[in-house]
Amino acid sequence: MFRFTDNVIAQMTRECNCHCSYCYERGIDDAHWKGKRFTVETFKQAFDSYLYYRCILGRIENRCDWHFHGGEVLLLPFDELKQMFDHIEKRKQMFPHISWCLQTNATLVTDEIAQYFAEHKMAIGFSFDGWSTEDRLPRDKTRELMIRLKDYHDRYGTDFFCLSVLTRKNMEYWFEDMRSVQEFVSGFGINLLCADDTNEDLVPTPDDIWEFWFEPVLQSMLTDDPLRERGIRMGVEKAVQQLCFYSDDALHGNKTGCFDRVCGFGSNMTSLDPDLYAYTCDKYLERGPHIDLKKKVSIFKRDFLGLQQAKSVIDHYQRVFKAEDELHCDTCPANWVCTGECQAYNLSKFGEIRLNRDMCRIWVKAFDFVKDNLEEILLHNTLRLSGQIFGVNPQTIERLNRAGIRLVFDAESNTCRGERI
Amino acid sequence: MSKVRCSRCGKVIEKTVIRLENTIQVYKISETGVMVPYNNLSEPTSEILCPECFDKYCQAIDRLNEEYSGMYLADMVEVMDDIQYGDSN
Repeated sequence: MFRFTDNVIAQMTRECNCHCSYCYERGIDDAHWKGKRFTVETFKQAFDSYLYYRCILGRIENRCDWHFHGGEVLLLPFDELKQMFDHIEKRKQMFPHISWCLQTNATLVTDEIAQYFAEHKMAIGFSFDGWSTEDRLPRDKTRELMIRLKDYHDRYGTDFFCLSVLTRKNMEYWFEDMRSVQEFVSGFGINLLCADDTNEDLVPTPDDIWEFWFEPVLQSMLTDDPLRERGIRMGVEKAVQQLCFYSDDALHGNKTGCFDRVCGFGSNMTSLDPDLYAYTCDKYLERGPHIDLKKKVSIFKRDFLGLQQAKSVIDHYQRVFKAEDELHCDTCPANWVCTGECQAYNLSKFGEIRLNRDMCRIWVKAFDFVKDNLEEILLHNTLRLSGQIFGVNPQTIERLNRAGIRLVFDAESNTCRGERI
Repeated sequence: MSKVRCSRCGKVIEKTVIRLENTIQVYKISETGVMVPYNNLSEPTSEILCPECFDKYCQAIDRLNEEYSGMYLADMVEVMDDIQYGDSN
């Protein structure tokens, strides 16, 4: 299952010390997963078998990421985690493009951990849903925690990345809450809550999603201090690329999805549970009643030529193609810009394909916003481009020049921005 | 001594190394009827095999080699009729 994988989401444990009402791990068989954790030994086995395929395929030069995920990772003793990190560092001598990071609720981060991550120049991703929800921690404890994290950032230079879940509990203050921690956070990501039978009252409506997430983030990109939210920024970058440039990525429709990588739903990302069973995507992890357990494969099972992994991805994509036809993605103006394929047709945490036409509508609206405000966006942001750039769109350049703006393209960093003439 | 190992059985290969390569290209037939390549799904892959494992691979693949039916051959000939060959002179 690792053959084509550049991202591994390792669920080091499925247990957690917080019990948030909207957690995606809700609904798992707690008795089955109780006490099951990666050990140093099982980690080494899994990690080395991952590298083994990279050797065979000659992908040593490719970037690959190992995500220490959970449950709550820091329930594992830090001494054991350190041995795992050290093992990666040792392997890095042969595989220099490996990186790793940690996703935690941050309640168990200590001085030692913050310092260790700063020394290794690795990011700590932490979950923060704002001040208005007390699901994770009571409000005063959240405040203490944020002060502590900021202190680590100031003292050791620890790099923090924040992930939050947008619910009806926190959406009203979400934008301002994220702003309040932006001082020590290098970026934000957002997860939309998956609707199931038990949480309907928590799931934001499409109008809520636009009003409290998309619109404020897009508006902030028209100022000198945008919120560093990655999902929408990625969509804006693609919209700008589509409007201003000719590029192979846009022509071929290469979509980027989770972790900013090309989504191949399993050809790129694989999830791993503490039993050392792998899944094509973390949406398929064993949870909830609808999960298709056939998608679970022991990492020690041989997969000649990777055909089984390829087959599971192609099987999945046949359903995706059907969904795309129903949503008419082929003729949608925001087709390539939409980074939200998971949001539009795979919202379910149970790995089901569900169509969400409202997300399509929201992305088209975001694309229109970029078209209308292209000049301001270019003036206030340096935007990353993807793939090979062939040329510029003369019509857009003329529009920018008429507005007194010059489009500056930096080939080395593959970025662009606008400058007043 | 050789350090090359067979990627199927793990045995050290002494003389003959057989590298098997495979690429799956996936296309989607779009609403407009055009075959659009899905590059995200197209990944090359390979195995490094010893002669014994290559033998097993050939035997397994051989099971796919069903005999052509007369009808199938007739269709193939029709398709071949459509192929335009360049003039060698």
